[in-house]
Amino acid sequence: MDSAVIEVEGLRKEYRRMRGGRTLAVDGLDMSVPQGGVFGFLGPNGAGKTTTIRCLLGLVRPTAGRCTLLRADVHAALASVIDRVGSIVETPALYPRFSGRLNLELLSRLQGIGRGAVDAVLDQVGLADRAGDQVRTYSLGMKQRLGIAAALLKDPEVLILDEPANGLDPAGIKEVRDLVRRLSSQGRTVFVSSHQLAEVQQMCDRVAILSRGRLVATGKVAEVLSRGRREVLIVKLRELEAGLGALRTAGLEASMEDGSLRVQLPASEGAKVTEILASRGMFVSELRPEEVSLEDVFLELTQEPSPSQDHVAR
Amino acid sequence: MSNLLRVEFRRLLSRRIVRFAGAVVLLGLLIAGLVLFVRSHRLDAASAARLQAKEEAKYEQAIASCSAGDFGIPPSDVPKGETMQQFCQEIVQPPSIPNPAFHLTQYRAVAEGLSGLLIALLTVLGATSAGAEWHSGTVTTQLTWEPRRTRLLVAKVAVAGVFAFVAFFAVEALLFGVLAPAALFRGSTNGIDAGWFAGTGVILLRAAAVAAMGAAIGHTLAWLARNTAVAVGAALGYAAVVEPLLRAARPKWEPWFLVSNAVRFITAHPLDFTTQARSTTGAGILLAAYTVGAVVVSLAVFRRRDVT
Repeated sequence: MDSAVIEVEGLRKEYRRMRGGRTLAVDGLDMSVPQGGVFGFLGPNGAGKTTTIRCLLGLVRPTAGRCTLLRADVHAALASVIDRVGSIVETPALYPRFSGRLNLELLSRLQGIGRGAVDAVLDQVGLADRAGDQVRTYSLGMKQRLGIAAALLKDPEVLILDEPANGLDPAGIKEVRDLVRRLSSQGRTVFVSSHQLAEVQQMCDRVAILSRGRLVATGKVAEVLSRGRREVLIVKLRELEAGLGALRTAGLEASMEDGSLRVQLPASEGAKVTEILASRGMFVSELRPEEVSLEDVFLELTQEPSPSQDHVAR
Repeated sequence: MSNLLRVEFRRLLSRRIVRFAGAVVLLGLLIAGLVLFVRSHRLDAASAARLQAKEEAKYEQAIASCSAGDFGIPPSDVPKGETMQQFCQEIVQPPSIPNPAFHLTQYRAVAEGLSGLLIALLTVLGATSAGAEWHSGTVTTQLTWEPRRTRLLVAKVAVAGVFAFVAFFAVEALLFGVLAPAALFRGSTNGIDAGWFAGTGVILLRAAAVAAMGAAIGHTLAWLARNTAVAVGAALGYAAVVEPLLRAARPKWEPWFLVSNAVRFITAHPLDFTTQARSTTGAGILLAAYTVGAVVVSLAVFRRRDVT
């Protein structure tokens, strides 16, 4: 994909353990993140999200495969694009005994970024008032916001955020969501890993779901939500039994569940249901497509037994 | 690279342990200077004569006591042909008049004495500088700004070394500054001339170079171990246990030992108990080679190992 800002091809990462074992963290991952928008990177704990991010940022050397960031090979030419990439990896690691401002100033000077930018990002994440305090006195949420501020300092084209809402309260989570959407609307690409599926569903344009180091689904959020599912209409009416019989007689696949009828039809064909029922003197009180949450899809996909159950090779 | 060096300097100077160590050293020097100033005083001729007479009287009294048998020396211990008084004159120390005036020429010995302590302190500071980075996880953050690991580590080691060199000189200069008033106003500056300054300067220059190399080695060890305690333990263990044991077991290896060569390089004299030693220049070159070797090993490992 020409417009891809992040590409991962056949990425495999095995960690060698001290006592001779090996842990397979990422197992042949292929992924492409297009330019612009918010890309959600999902997976349960230990799925390999952070390892993938570390490979993308050159912190970890892949066992096999390659990663490119802004079309630069990470292994060979990361330095040529790093000034266009802002990132947080896990909990932001900053000097605990330095103030938030000093931490940002030290980073900004690495690339000759002025103090004005430090003040601007501190304002942007709402930390201007506490910028003079030592980072060790910050709450987890404040550290997270300082990490986001550090990631924004470079005015990056691509933001890679590993669990940016980790430790934030609901208001903080909403702030991060709004910030991410705002950054995306400015034309930046935001690659965000998260466990908070409801947030991802609201925030992301595309997602990739990782399970046991492998990609199990990727695409636009709507595509992933409908992946392998037949669309269902939920129909409520007073005469459930009669309605069910009428719909089945008309050749529709229908069932009764929890005080409503489930009809296997796309939402665009809802009129067919009302027509059949109305022609028999029954009138619907509610007709809506069944909503599938990302959480349902995520759980369904990530709880599937993996072809390689022997994940941890000893 | 210059941005990286500036940032590293700023980070190092902002560290609490550096400021704390600086404050402790400064306070210690000021106290030492004050105590010396109070205790040092010049003797006039009358006082010197009075002191001389007092010391001589003490000496005569000690000889008399010894000859009278108060020291409990059995007559069989007295060599044949000598009287007890002659023997006592041999064993009782002749009088020496303590000179309470501080001579500024003594600064060189004091500075050399302080060098060992400073080198050890700066080696530990170099190690903590690296260990703290791994402990707080900031290496990860820095690599997301400067992914070229060679540049990053070389800058850090260079800053640790330069800082140690400058800090060493600053402390020794400060030492001179706090000792000088005692010599100027209540002691003596005899023998202080351009030659003395040049000789002292060369010794301090070599000692500062050893401090810089110590800090660089401390830094690379901690970077390698990703931990301060391991690096300090290894350095201390080597200096206090491994090298003395090797010296006893393999005296022929003496020209290769780190501490022996450091002493040799600073003082331009071999250790008292050494039988084989390099030249001063040879010792310096060997120390530099060890430092470069440590950096190269640390760099090779850093380039290969994952940062997790």
